[in-house]
Amino acid sequence: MLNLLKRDLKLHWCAMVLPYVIVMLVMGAIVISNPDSALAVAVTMGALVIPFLPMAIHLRENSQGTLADLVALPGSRKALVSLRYIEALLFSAVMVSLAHLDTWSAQSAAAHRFVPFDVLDRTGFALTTMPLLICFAYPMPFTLRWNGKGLAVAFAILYVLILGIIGLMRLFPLKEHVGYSRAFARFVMYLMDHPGQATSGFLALFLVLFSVSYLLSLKAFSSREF
Amino acid sequence: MNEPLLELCGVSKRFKTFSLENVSFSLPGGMFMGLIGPNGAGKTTLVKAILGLVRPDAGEIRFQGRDLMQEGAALRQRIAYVPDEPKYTTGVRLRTLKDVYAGFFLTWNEARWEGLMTDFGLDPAKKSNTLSLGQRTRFALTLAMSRDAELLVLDEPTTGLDPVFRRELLQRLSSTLDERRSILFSTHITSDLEVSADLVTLIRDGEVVFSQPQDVIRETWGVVKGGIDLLDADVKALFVGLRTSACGFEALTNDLEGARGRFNGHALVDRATLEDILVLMGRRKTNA
Repeated sequence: MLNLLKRDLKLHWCAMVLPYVIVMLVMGAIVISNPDSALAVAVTMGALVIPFLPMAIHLRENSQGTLADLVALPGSRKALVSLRYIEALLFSAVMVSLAHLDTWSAQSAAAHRFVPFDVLDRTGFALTTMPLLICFAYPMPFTLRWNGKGLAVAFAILYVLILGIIGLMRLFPLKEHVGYSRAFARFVMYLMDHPGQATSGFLALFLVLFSVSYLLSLKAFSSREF
Repeated sequence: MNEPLLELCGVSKRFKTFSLENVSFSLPGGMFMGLIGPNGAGKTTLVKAILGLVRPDAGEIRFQGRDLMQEGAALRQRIAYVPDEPKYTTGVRLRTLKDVYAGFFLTWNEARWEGLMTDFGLDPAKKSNTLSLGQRTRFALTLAMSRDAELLVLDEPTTGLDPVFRRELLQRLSSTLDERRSILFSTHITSDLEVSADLVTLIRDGEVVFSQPQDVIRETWGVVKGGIDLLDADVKALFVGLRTSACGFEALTNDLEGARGRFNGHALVDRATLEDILVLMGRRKTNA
């Protein structure tokens, strides 16, 4: 596993560093212009991109024709699938750390003093990173099985599902003056007010969905032929 | 012969337009086996099955008596592989590619790799995307040959190489053989095998036609050339491959001595080269 990770770091460092640099610059611009927007926005910006990096590496291997050689190395396919999930967690952890550093620097600069690190908004992490990691978990089995086509199909299915949900919401409206958007806003507010519950709830959801995605990916990748 | 290093028993794999059917052969330790067959015969599919890139529908592939399909991840430590068209991550220097590759193997020999890079005329500082097909193959060979792998699997490695280098390579490969090391060399350039191969396996339309020592092939397989007037139903039945023209016929037999006795003085009977076998087997008797 360590060899596989080292391999990715050596061969795909450019594909990894570039998104980080872009994300850090954008996050920096956001937190400098409005330090109070704090971590939620910053982490969202980063998390949108970073969890998808392992998928980008996989697609790069496939497009350059090196995926078969990777599979032919001593190592199981399970190790390769595990690598992608570990990378997603690892890259996100690095991104969150950088985002904290970015925000902390900006807030400290705005306050003309070092802001204590523990005042930073941790709820933002729970409310943004974990759902986005779940977003990574959804298309991963499709990507491992069918590459770019699989990723496109995964997003097409998601798009159809969202349209279906919107259609159902139109067909079955909530009671007058309540509305779905208002209900959703209330739900988000509730989560913001109860960070403990929000974090543990997302963590539980994340663990379940991540595990399901991992198992599906194992099945999808082990049946692949090159 | 030694114990089989690699053994395939009844390996079958079905695709939409092609299938491998009940492929069986064994490669003992210390042997150079040529795997020949026309394009699309199933050579690459077979190589991929050995490397775990394709999963057979039926049959067993054993390496040193262990199931390659079950224990492939560990056993691939001892198998080196050169694909027909090696591909590398673009924009990466050869030295970096080597570092990454070497990290996976316990028996990496750095000094040997450096020597091979010099012998093969490759610069470690060169980037992968600047290499020609021949150079990519040479580099893949340096990686494969710098490990003390017990089985070296080469899938049409000489396709992009010049004749001088091909000959040098075959000599070098033959010199690496010992009691426990074997080579499986897939090719359709049969001249590469005439001198080097101890064993030859011919595969056609996804089926093994024969898997025999080369000296047995030389003693058994023959080419018969004669006039059309000799061809009747009984004579045609003797041949496993036949090609006719206005001037006469050229046929393949797997009973060289029998053919010599039967056509004594009436037709030219000679040993078949691997190319003769490949060419004449490629045509069915009924198409003659």
